[in-house]
Amino acid sequence: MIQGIFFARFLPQQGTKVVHQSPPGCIVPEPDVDKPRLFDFDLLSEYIIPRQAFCNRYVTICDPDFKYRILGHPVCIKDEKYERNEFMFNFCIVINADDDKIPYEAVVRRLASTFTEMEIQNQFLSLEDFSNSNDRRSIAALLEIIKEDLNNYNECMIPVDDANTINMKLFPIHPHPPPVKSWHVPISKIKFSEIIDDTWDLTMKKVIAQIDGIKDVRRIAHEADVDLDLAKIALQHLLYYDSVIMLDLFLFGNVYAPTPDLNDFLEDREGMQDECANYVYINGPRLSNFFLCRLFASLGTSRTVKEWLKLHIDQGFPVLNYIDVRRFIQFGVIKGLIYRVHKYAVSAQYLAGLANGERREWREWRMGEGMGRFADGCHCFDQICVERNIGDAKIMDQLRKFPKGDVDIIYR
Amino acid sequence: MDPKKLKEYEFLWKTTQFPSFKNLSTPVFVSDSMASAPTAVKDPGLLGVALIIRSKDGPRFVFHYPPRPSTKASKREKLYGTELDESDSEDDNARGDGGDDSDLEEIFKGKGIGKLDLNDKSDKKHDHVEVPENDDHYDDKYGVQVVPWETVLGWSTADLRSILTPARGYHKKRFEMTLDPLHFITYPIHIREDGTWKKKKPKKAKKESTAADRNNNVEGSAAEDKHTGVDDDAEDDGGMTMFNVVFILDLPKHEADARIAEIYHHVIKSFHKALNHAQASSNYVWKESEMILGMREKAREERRPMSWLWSEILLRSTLAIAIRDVYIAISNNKIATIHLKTTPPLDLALQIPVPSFLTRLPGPTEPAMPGLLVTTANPLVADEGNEDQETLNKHFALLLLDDENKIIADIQAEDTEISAPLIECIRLCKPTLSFLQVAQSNSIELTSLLILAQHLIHYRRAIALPPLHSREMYIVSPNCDSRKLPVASVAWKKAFPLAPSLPSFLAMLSAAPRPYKSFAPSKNHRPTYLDMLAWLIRGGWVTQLRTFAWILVWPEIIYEVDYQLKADAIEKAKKGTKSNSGSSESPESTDESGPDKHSDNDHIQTLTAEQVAENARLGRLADKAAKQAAEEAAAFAQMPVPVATDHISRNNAEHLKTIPPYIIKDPHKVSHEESLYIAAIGKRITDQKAKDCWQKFVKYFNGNEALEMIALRENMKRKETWGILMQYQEHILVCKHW
Repeated sequence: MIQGIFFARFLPQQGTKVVHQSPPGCIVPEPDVDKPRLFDFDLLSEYIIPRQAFCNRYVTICDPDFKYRILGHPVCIKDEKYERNEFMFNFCIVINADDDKIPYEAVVRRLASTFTEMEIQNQFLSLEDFSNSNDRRSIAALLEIIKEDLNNYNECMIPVDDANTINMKLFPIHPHPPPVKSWHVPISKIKFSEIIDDTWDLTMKKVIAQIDGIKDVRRIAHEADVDLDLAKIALQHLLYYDSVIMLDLFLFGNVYAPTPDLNDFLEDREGMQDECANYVYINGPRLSNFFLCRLFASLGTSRTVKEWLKLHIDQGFPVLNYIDVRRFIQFGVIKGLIYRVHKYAVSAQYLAGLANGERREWREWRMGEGMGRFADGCHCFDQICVERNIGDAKIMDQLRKFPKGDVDIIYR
Repeated sequence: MDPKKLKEYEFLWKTTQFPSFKNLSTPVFVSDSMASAPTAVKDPGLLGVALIIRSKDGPRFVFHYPPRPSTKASKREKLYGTELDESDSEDDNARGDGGDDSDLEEIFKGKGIGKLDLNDKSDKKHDHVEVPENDDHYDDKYGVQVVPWETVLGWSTADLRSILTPARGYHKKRFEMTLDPLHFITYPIHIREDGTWKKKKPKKAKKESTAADRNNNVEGSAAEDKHTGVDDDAEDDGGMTMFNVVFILDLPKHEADARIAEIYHHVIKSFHKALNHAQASSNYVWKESEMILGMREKAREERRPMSWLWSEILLRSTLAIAIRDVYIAISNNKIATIHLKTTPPLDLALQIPVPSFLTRLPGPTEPAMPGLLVTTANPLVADEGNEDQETLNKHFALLLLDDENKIIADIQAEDTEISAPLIECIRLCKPTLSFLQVAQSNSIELTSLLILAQHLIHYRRAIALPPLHSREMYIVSPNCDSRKLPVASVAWKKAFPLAPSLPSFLAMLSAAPRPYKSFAPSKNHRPTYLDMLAWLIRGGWVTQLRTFAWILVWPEIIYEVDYQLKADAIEKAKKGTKSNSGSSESPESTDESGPDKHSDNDHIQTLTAEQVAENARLGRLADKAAKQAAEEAAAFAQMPVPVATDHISRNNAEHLKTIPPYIIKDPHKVSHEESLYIAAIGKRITDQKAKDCWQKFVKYFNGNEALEMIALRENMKRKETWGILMQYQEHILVCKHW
């Protein structure tokens, strides 16, 4: 929320001066306005129009009470036509110090660049007082509209004169998404079919068509006939907008174990149990939520999904008659109730090689068909599966080619 | 160990900083055995630290460290969640170059196909970085001498010093400015209006403890008052009116606010308060600044190289050393220990606190923290009687994070008042013994032991965890940092030459959770195996697999309780009808049956119409209640009588099929029915001992209390508790996690 917006410039005789402000009197006193100012401008003026060395960049400063943050982009235009051969100004936005300042940076930068351009075109700013023309808006009015529009609509589109329009929008800026790995399995969070249209990127459309919660990234790329790296970039975009989630590759030989968050499920926070029931009881009649609790609690580091199923079937609970196991596991993983216990191969020889820095010898090995590169405990079997396009059993076969007793399998 | 005396030291970790660890040449403690220690902390993004003052000659840029702050953006975090694979593109193995910068990266940078780096600073070049930064002086084309130390981060110090000496309005306030991606954070200290640096305290009005609180970190404040006089300063403070140490940070946008707040509160503020104290008591900041400024001037005239000048300054100025140490320690996420040569000397320790363990794994979109221990065993519990205070759980044990002898040597070297008790604490505490056990067996005060332990934990020399025991289960931590396997394997071999190799041992532990003792070949090996376990936990390789439980109410019990409730109700109703017969029922009842409302009115003349109506109504009500009771009784009689079976979970009786089993979420807050369930279950337990313990143990079945802790909490043998818990097996839902 913009608390205030103002235009300041450096006047050779008077120094830094706030020329226009909105709301009135928020920065410097104005006649007929009897309202407290947001902060003491004199204290901050040296950061609004700083020394030349700090101009033409994004500058922010907080007031001493740490209540407000002033976002500005001081501009210094050098030209002989100006007094002292330079013209300095700054369009600043004031927000609360603890508000998210990230979306406003682009706006402040845009204000600076637009008005710089207009100043260079027709001295829009420096000749403000001499211009009587009616075909341009006053800067004061502009500030007011920008503040109101951004606060109310998160965007503004204001024609300034015949040639210039101010177009700005507050974009939510998300953190950089994690890298997409080829052995990840994307699952969509939204119905793409409802929002996709002809203007979408072709690669993106091809990739989206393949997302089904089962196929791994490499397979998606392959079946969509898209370069793997491009498929990854497309998926990373979807991740950025939080429209897909990345899961592990579901196989019945996988191991999953509960996390402490399973408590939330047991306590049925946010109606999680019914949500899960609606998602997984699709193979038969809907049972009591209790069985879901018991199924989750009985997962553990020592059993594969297959063994876990057998355990319940042997105890007289035919799990498969009621629930979709893949959905059940995926629900648990997405909600963080359970985690995948990955399998890693570690070769003692290879580790020793790494410790001694003898990496070069090993490189030759890993270039070949062997498992060398994967046997450092950092590459899970999912990765080997997908990259080598072989199954678990085949991997184990290949690992047997290592000297006897050299390779250990760690579940983590 | 005198508890009262120790209590005085409590402020040391209740406040954030602390006088200690003198004579530590480097504030970093790392040893070979620590190669496996968790270092999973974020890069603090600290680029540099600069001391800038305002003297009678105007603002002066005194000193900064490092001499050439690097603007190279810190490397982007590549790992998320618990992922270990660092490559962005798996194809780099095919190319065989092993480099992490794959084609993907080039695509990101170059052609801008779907460039996602909207906000990531990593690829941006700062426009002011390109200024040549030499070690030597040279003359520019106008013949003006260019001094190497007068350019910092591409700006001239003349520009920086003016913008980084905030006005009096910022006195003892947070100053936060950004220039493009760089954050400048400081806590300016101005001279007071009366020309002193500190408010004079009324003599002896305050005790030392409060002084320590206010000054926050100052040891031996006794002499401070003598030196604060105006007359003292007037001669030699060079007209210094303010000083501040500016911290320059470069942080990822989304983390910036939180991280700045952290470093500001834990480091910047405290450092300035200490300097303010030093300035007030010994004119320290000015004296040091004056000396450094003099050296700068001289070196400028002599055209000395910057590297020469910096090493000279660091030889002579303790303030410069302090600034360097703060920079080195904080940018490496270590504890900065600072020693200011004031009279009396002033010691303090600064750190951005780091968690010593995680309770949940980082999610797939959260930055990874590999190597950090994951456990739900929180060593802090609310203090009895004081809800806000947290103390160490007395049933936990102390695990040193480094070699015992090395820590002892360090502490001996520090030689403070509490060195001796700390060493005693280290010697007595074992990771296999709870604090309570240690205190009892050595007949020492538990509170003092806990205070000392807390001190060791605060200084990252130890962690507290449930005592290690060979009956418990331990698994390979899903957050362990396997990238350290090569180095850790070597350290492991050195520490335990006869044990299986580290990968083999981890493989054994991870294959299937078993009580730890089953891995030791014989009983004689157990002590060594417990040492191995301590080593593994210290490095975040393994974590305890703990057991949690909830009370599980089977349909049979639910039915039984329900049946009993109904029987009671009918019994009560019967009694009720007997005692109520003839007497007037509650007149509030408005439950009238409509159709025969008027029919009685005309018959009995002697009674008023209302009375007649009332009597009739009561009669009808009584009839109705009786009828209802009879119906209920009949329905109740139809219900099968509950039968207690031996295998409650397998009771497949027809009348139980529609009742789902029920889980009691929190035995601390039970409804009436739930308490009846608990009582009913108690009756079903056959073993007498287990039956007696049921009500006592019930409170642990809330999904948050590890069953492993019951033995310690109830002061019982582990074997005994597990024996009892086995008796409850059918009535609890068990789940195992860290």
